[in-house]
Amino acid sequence: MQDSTRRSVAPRFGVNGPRPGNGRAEPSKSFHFAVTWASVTAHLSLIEAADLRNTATVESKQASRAAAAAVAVVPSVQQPQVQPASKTRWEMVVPKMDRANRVPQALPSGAEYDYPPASIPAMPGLFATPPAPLLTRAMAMLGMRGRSSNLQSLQLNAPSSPLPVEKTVNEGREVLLSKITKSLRNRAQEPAL
Amino acid sequence: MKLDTALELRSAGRLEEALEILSTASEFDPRLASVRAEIEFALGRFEDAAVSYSAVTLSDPGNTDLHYNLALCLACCERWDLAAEAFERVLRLDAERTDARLGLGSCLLHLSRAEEALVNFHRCGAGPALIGKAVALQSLQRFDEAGRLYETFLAAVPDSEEALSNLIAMSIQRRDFAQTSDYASRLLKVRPDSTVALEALATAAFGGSDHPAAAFYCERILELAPDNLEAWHNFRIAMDQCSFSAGHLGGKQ
Repeated sequence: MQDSTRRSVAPRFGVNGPRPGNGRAEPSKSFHFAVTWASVTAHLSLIEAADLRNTATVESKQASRAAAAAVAVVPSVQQPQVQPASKTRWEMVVPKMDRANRVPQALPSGAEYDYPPASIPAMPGLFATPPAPLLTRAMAMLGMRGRSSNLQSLQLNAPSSPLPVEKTVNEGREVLLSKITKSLRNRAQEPAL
Repeated sequence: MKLDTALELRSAGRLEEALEILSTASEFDPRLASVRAEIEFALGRFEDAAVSYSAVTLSDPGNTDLHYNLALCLACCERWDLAAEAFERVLRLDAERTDARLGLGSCLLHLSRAEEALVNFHRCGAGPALIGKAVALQSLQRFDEAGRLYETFLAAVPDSEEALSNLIAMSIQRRDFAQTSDYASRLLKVRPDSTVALEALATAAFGGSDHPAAAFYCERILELAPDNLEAWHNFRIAMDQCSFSAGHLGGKQ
């Protein structure tokens, strides 16, 4: 803390003696005596985040689930190491949702399954991380909602967008996330098939 | 990558560059924001640091360290009311944090809430809290209790300029110029160039109508602080009084 802990104490006295010449008194001016308490907080200092003191691989413990999903989703878009659609069996794992057995039934057939779509923009900044299966799971789930909606969301991220790449990346990520979240919610509300 | 780069730059003391790297982040990341806040704090940009910490605390509201850091930033901005609230949030999460309680007490003193400050300082035990308690008591005009606490503190830290300065202020409040001279002399031993001590001695000299002494101390103050207007004024007054006394004595002779 700054040493601003000052409170002035103005002494109430003066020199009231006669002044030479005219005999009138002229008081002295009080000095300002400050009451301070800087030493109370002098030893207080910022607490640096322990996991950020060192460089290197620091994983965030505070990142939201959505942000984590975004990071996981985007790399998978460029490197969709999915199996041939006709042979793929999808399994969606959603916490607190016991629908794992239903997901494969809802997958599109091999002929209809068109993944990945060409309209997904490249996101080079996030490719360093290994591809996560979340996107494929999410896409499978989106596929259950119908291909048209899936494509619609992906076209929003078309590379022809005039926006800067970074902004496009973020918007694409947000759209994907919102779609995924929406689909998850809708899926959870659907009656069991 | 940005985080790593920024941390490396910070380690190398290149704070501005680190901050520049972090400022290019296009989205909110609590880790980046934390590092950014720390760097802003280190650069003395306390308001910016407070803003950064505010955002981070929103993302992790249960983190007492973040609230504490925010409180420190606000205190450094002299936003005592907001700082006090932030310290209170820390204490709601962890009532045993003495550092936050000290900070809160300090803010409360600034807010002229001496009674509440005293309660907080009492819960901190001894150490730096003693000065806080003494100041709170002094503010509450409980001078005897305050004086005892200052002396207790001085027994442990004999060269505490702050305690001696506060005792000087208190003795002047009480118009106890003998004590003023005593504390000022002690302070001068600790710090021979203390203008506070010299002002106290000048004040005590004026109080005792010892104008030659007052002139002497005022002159010394002016040697150390030529811009001290009060010292100039009082030096003239003291010299006038000395001349008058001399003339008066000469007339009598």
